Parts: sequence; structure tokens; C-alpha cells
Amino acid sequence: MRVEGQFEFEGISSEAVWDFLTDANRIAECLPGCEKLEKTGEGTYEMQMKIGVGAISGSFSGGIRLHNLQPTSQYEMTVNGTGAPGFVKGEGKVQLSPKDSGTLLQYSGDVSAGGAIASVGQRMIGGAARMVIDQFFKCVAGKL
Amino acid sequence: MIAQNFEYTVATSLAEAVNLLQKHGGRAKILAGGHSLIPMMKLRLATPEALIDIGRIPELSYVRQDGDMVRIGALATHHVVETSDVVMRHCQALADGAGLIGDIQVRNKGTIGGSIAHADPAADYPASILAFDATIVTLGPKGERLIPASKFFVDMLTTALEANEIVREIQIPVQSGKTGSAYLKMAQKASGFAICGAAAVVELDGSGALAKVAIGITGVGNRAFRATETEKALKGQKPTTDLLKKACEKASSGVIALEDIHASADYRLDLARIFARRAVEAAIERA
Repeated sequence: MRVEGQFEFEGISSEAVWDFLTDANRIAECLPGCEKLEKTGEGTYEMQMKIGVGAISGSFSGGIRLHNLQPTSQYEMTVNGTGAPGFVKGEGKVQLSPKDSGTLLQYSGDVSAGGAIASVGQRMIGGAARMVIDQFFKCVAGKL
Repeated sequence: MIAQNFEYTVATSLAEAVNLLQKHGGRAKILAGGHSLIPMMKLRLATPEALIDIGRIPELSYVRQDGDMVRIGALATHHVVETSDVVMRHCQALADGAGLIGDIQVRNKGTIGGSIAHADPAADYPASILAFDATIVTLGPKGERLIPASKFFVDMLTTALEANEIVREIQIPVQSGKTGSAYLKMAQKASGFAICGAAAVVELDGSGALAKVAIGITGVGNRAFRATETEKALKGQKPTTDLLKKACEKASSGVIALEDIHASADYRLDLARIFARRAVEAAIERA
């Protein structure tokens, strides 16, 4: 499932956005339903989160890996999680570009799922991913 | 699969159900017809600690006309909505939609209140509810609240309902003048859910021009939406074939579409344009 979008950080420098997005503790502050996020190595994190979209919710544990980091302009991210409702995998790229009014963040990637989520919720996975991503960036903008 | 353990309580009134919701602090779910919630619980996609069954509360499954308002109780089943004389007379698009939900077993158990509270992005009702400018009446600890349809559907599976509020009634203004409405959909073959559904409500003036036109589209985006640009292009105009075709080209502009193995995002956006036109044509036919 292709997921892409963008977000504008008004009046916030790309350095500030970058520092936030590569700091495990700060990511955890904004990741919806995040119960644990620990750095386990260079760019790798272990996490536990409870994702809820309306009546559907599930706890997932898994990892995030940030790679191909090009400070303050772009990085790639691999996410995987397993839980009772099935598994979720995601791979994407985040790009930051400075603008007069702040920073423009663009993301694009692929999300896939298996298990019960995929059998009934396949049509909702892309939309649900967008909701979580949007909540996350809104929270980041609020904290910067 | 079998659902995770949960507590089960039968509420004898909506006020009691609200109290029980409060008590469980967001970890309970309201059970009405159970045709969305129970399948999700069996797959353990939903794991509420308690179910509060409002399905046995008497007198919440009414459909009646009250002056210039059609009032539909939250527990009216899809079958009741589909076959109601009042709905057929004043808001036919809603009856069209109800009659296209799932199969007869689902329509005999599933309720309009449950369906809109669940807010599945592919549910049929939201398209008509938006096009009719309906009002959703809810009950919570602070009493009743009236939520306009335009504010009710917030996002996928997400409504303006607070965790301790319950849908009590749906109010649809009775249309005046030479009016007609229709709902058409392309259904997913197995589930019957809308890949795209469009509802249109029109009013024609003496010259045959569109004095009013409202179009709601479901199944395409994260939530149902109004095709406002198409409405603007049609309002006050005589609905010629060319104009309808041109105006409906904008029916899904700016929408981020869902996609799955049944339909790509682009295909859904295109269906929205086509079904918007067909729904307006069908509504005009009935006016």
C-alpha cells in the first residue's frame, strides 16, 4: 500500500525538525500509543505501541531502523511490528527541505500487513497509516 | 476465532448505558446490532473490556415524520429504514442505501445508529446523511448534543462522538418543492461494502434548473465527503448532459483515495466522478 504525503512546519528550522525526528525520546513523546521506544544501536530502536483507529486497536512490538541518514535533509526508515491482530511492515523515505516560512517535510513509502488486519482491514491500512503519521507530525509541530 | 473475554451488560435505558460507559472509561463499547463490532472482536481487532447492549431498549427503532423533520431512532435496523414509508417519501436516497447494505440477515440486525457511530469509510449511510444535511442527536453525561452531519464524520472509523456519548437519533429535514434523491453504488462483491457510493439530493425550480444540489460520496476516501466543487458548478444551472459530465469531473478533486486489491486509488477517484453524475441524474428523474 503506497502512502505518501507532506507536512509543513511553520517557522521551524529543518535542523530542529531533524534533531527531533532522530531522537528516540522525542519520537516517543509523539508516536501515538507509544508505550516503549528504546535505542538498541546506531539508528535502531525497539518499540512497543498500541495503535487505535476507532474501535480497532492492537498492541504491536517491533523495531524501527533509520538508515541512509543525510543530516537535516533526508533519511530512510524501516518499521516492523507484530501483535495479536497480525503484522505490519513499512518502508519509507523522509525528506526535509527548508522554506522561507519553515520546513517542508515530504514522506513516501510502502506499508504492508498480514494476518487478521490484512484479511478484513486491507482497504483501511493506507488510510490508517496516514492518520497515525498525521497525528505524529502535528504533535511534533506542537512541541517545536 | 473467538473473542477475548469481556463483560456483558444489558442496558435498560440510554441514560444507564451512558453511565456504564463512564464507569468503564473508554474501555467499553456500545453493542447495537453488532454487525461490525462482533466480527472485529472475533478477529481480536477490537478488544473492549465490556459490551453494553442497548439493543433491547424499547422505542429507539422508530421512523417518524415530525413537522418538517424526519426522525430516525438509533436502533432502526437497515431493513426498517429501507422499507419505511416516511423514508421512501422524504429521503429516498437513504432507503436506497439501506437496501444495498450487506444481505438480508445483516439488514435485519444492523442499525443505522451503530453504522454511523462505527464510521466505516465504506459504509453506505454517510453519503446520504451528508447530502441531506442531517443532524445527529447524541446523549452523553452532559445531556443531549446536536451534531451537524458535516461535523460528524471526522476520519476513518472516527466521529465527533465523545467516548461516553451514544447516538440517539438521526434528524433529516423534509425537503420542500420539486425534489428528488438517489443513492447508487459499486459494491465489493463479497462484503457488499461500497468501493464507491454516491448520494444526490436535488431540488428543481419552475424552469427546471437546479435550485439545490447536494452530493455525498462514500467508500473513496478516509471518510465520506461532499462533492462541493461539483455542487457549485451545478447550482442554479439547467442540468444538461454536457454540464453534468463536466461538473462531475470535479467530484473527487483534492481527495486522497483508499486503495486495496479490489480498486486502486485512481479507480476509486474515477468511480466517484461517474457515480456522482449517475446519482444526480437519478435524483433529477425522481424530482
